[in-house]
Amino acid sequence: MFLEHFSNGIALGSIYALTAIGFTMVYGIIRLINFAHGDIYMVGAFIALLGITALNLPIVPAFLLGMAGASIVGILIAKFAYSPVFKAPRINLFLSAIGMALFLENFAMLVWGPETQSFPNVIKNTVYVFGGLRVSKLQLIILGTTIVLVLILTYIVQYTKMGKAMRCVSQDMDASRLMGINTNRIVYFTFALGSSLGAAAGVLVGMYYKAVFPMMGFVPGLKAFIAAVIGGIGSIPGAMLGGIIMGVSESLGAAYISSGYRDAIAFIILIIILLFKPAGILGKSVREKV
Amino acid sequence: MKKKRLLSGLLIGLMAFSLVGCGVSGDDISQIVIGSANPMTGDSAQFGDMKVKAIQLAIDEVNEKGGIDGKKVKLEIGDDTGNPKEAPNVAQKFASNDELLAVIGHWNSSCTLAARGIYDSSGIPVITDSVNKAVTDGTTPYVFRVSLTDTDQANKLAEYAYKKLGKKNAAILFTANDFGTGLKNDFTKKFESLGGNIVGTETYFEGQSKDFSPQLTKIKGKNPDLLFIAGYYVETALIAQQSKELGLDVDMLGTEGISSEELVKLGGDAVEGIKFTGFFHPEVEFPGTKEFVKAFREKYNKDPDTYGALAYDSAKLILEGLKKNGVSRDGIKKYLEEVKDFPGVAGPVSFKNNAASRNIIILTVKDGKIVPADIQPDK
Repeated sequence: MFLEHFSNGIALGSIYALTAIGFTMVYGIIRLINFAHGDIYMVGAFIALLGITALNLPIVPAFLLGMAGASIVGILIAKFAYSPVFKAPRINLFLSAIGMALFLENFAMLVWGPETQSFPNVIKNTVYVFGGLRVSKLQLIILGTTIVLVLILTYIVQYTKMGKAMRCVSQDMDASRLMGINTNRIVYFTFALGSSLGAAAGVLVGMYYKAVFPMMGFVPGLKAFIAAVIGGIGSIPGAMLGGIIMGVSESLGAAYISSGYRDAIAFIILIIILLFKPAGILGKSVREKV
Repeated sequence: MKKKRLLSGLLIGLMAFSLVGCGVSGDDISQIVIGSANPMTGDSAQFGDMKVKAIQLAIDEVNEKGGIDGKKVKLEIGDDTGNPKEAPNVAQKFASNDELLAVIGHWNSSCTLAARGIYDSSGIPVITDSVNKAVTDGTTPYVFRVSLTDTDQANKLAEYAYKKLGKKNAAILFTANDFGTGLKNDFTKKFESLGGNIVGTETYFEGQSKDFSPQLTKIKGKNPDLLFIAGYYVETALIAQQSKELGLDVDMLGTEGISSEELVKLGGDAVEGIKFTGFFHPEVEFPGTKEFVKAFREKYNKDPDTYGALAYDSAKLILEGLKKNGVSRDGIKKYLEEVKDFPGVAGPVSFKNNAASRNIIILTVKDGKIVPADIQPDK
């Protein structure tokens, strides 16, 4: 029983982690709490759905299409909604993000309709039983995809020139510009990368629950924010850890405390972390924030 | 000089014309407006959409025959977003419109409860399909209910589960709002009074919960022989799928909240065999059912659902009241109070203490289609 709850929590947690990484990256670069991130996740899921239903793509190309589409949307948002208010006080940027979130939700309702749409059954889901542990194929795919994407991201951030520039910009944007780094390009690149990870999470959720709808990004957006703060906002490993902690504690909390409190549990953990370690679990130990 | 005279002549003519115009429009209301207060955006927007489509169909049918008293009927749509905070704003807006004679809605109980006082104090008759029993507790005589109360429904379902299906140990999964909580309490009371056991109750949040594995894993540990789901179809489809994956193999029973084609679209194989209450099914025919389904299909290219059918009947009731008792709000109310066995497409309607009494049918999913179940409750 405990193991079952635990494996549910890991699957849920990997999705939170993917969403939280995109969130935390944007924060690391331009110090923006990007509340539109959850809705980019929704847009990614819808684009992948479009790829499957309208273009008859198999799941892997549709998945990549969703990620690519969302990164373009991410860049457009950065260009038209955020960069004009970039130099204005922080609150303007924040309000712009909330406006963007509302815009994306309502835009999706107009384009795709307000109904929940079913995501086609692209992968035959089988359940594997190891002793007392039940794991479904989809849960393994979610975990696997998350690990692969995080490895790719780590490679980009740690070993490429672009990644090096990102780390510089996150430390000091003005100094980076003086050193000849095109900071605008870095910001857009970060948005593209973060949005594509968000979209990946969205598509995985669509596959897992076989349902996609315009409001699907709202709660996960909030949860990603919490996961990022728990792990230490701005830190990629922190976001991963935060996501997993949230997923597992929600599953266990719903099982052993009460299913009515599962969303509250996320906030309780947030409050506890903020009380005892305001910078988040990995907030201090990791200096480079990307 | 000539030019000036021409101009003044024109001006006088214009003034005279506008005066005549005033006289005509000041006479009486020029059109009849019926309001629909439903969620058009937000998590429950699909239900509002279906209802508005059905109401518009009923209005079009009347307008094609020349309207009522030579006046065309118009539909005004208010969007409560399914949120009880928005509902009073919609009600206030409707109440300030003198041409508006009746309201159909709100869809969910929380919204109806939040707005009903405003309608009542402005004397606007309301027909709602909300099922919470407080909606028709006698304090708001202008609010009528066209569906069954959640209590009636839960009682009938508990009886059906215990007596007809022979279930003894039920688990309940309910949505955390007035609708779900009401159903849970009433079902529990009736099922236990019949001699059954409720082995576990779990809850979730409509429109937010997508992962039910903790609840279902817990329920699985209690070994129930029936899972009663008090919620709507989106979540029910997910619950059915996830319980398959978790290896929870149990009969499922739901309410009219899940009676929709979308349940099958979303749930696929997993919802095969699930049973739920219906007030309406195209194959369960009453006078007018066939014509309604045909007209709805032709106009919107999809089948009407329960809410659509009830909204259509509500609109017909209001329009009939306007024809019978003249164009006024109180005329409609009087008609609703007196009507006996109105031939609705979802079965005959009469109101007693503002609430409709009607029989339920049990529907099930078979080969990807919603059909009436083999075992039906006693009439």
